[in-house]
Amino acid sequence: MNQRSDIDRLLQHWMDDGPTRMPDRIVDVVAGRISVQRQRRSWRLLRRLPMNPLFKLGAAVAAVLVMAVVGWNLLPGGGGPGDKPSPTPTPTRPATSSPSATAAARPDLPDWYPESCDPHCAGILSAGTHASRYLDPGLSYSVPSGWVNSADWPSYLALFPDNPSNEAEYARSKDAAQSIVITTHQDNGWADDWGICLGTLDPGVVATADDVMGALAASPNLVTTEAIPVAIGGLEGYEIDVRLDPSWTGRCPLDPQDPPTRDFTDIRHRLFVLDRPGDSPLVAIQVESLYSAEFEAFAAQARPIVESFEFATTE
Amino acid sequence: MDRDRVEAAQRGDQAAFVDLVRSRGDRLFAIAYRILRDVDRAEDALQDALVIAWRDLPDLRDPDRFDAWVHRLLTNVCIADAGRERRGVANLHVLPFDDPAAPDDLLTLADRDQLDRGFRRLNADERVILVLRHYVGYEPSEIAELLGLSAGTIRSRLHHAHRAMRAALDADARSVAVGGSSA
Repeated sequence: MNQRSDIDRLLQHWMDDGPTRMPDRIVDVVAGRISVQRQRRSWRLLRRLPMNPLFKLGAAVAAVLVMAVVGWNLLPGGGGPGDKPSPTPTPTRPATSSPSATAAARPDLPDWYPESCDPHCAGILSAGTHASRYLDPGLSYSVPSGWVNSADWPSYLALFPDNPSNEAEYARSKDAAQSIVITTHQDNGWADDWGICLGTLDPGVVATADDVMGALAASPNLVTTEAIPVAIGGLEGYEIDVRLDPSWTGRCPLDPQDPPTRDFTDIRHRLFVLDRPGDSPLVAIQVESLYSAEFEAFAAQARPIVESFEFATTE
Repeated sequence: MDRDRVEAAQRGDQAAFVDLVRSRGDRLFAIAYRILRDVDRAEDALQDALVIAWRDLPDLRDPDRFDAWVHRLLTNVCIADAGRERRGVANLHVLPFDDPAAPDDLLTLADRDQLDRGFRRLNADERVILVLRHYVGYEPSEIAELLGLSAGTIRSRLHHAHRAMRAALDADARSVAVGGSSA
């Protein structure tokens, strides 16, 4: 093969191979299963019903009952009277739920953030401790009120505050101005998720948090602070601030097809790069502000959240 | 016409839903297979996704978005399944093809094997993104909307996945170069 640079074409060609016809039996199986599967009632339609005073009263009573039932079911151990409460959720193993459970929750999101992330997010978080659902390794974290979990994937979890800065940025660029993002990757793909132009940094050689610190320090397009050893949530690594060198003239972001949509030199990152036992990929926690003027205040706000992290580190 | 079927299915018309399954099934199965690389698991994932679709269909706000919505349900189920694979469930790598892969002018059998290995090393969400981009043909912005991630994250994931796949091919090239004299 002599055209390896054209990865798009190769992948399309490769994916064209393979079965393209659904086995007939699937239709029969699905028809049988839906014949005994009730459909959900549409909350969307219920919300649109006009409300007269009597209906409002009924709805209020119903809402209280629903909340009571939900609250009862959310009690540890299913809400039995003798159950002892657990102080914090246990970090979950990723994606062990059955598919039918996948669509059970309907996360609420800020009005200004009309995204559909269900089930890969928890939405608006209550003050307190929460557990990831998909991230590998599992994670528990504590937040004050006003925070949103906007993504929870096997290798990616994102939190952002519901504040005017993020609302304005979302309206402008569909992005969050301030966020905490956790990434894990096989094959050292961590570098791609930092949102900054990493230029000459070669993540292919990186295996440990020490390697990352060395690579960052050696990268001519980055300005870094001194790496500080840290231990977070049962994992050890380093904390370091990283930003793009304003004098660097390369192109950002990573994808050359992307038009430059922001001033990348103004982005600030505080990175926590953590080793995991064995051959598991690194965990990178990124506290990011797209605007340097807001960074220190946001980093101070994010620190107690980061320090609350507990990773499920046992395999 | 499809909108009528979707709306009928939303009202509980099972026959209309089965019609939708028949008309979309091939495409959905092909997507599931390409993410999971296993026929049996693709069948299971598709069945589960379709039953979830039936259950939640009344909540679909825009019937014209049915296809994207089902794609999203399916990819979620596939990600959950792939997560189980990563945690050590036996992973059978028998790849049945409608037409056996044969050498062609673009990809050799060795290339295909290396691509397959590289693909299996990706995270489940990266596999999904690659399939949605290169098999389904979605733009990154469409994938972002589908998966509820930012377009920047999707582009970043694509970049990483492309690099991993390219590395898989390069590894093959190196092994050919190293072993070429003795082969």
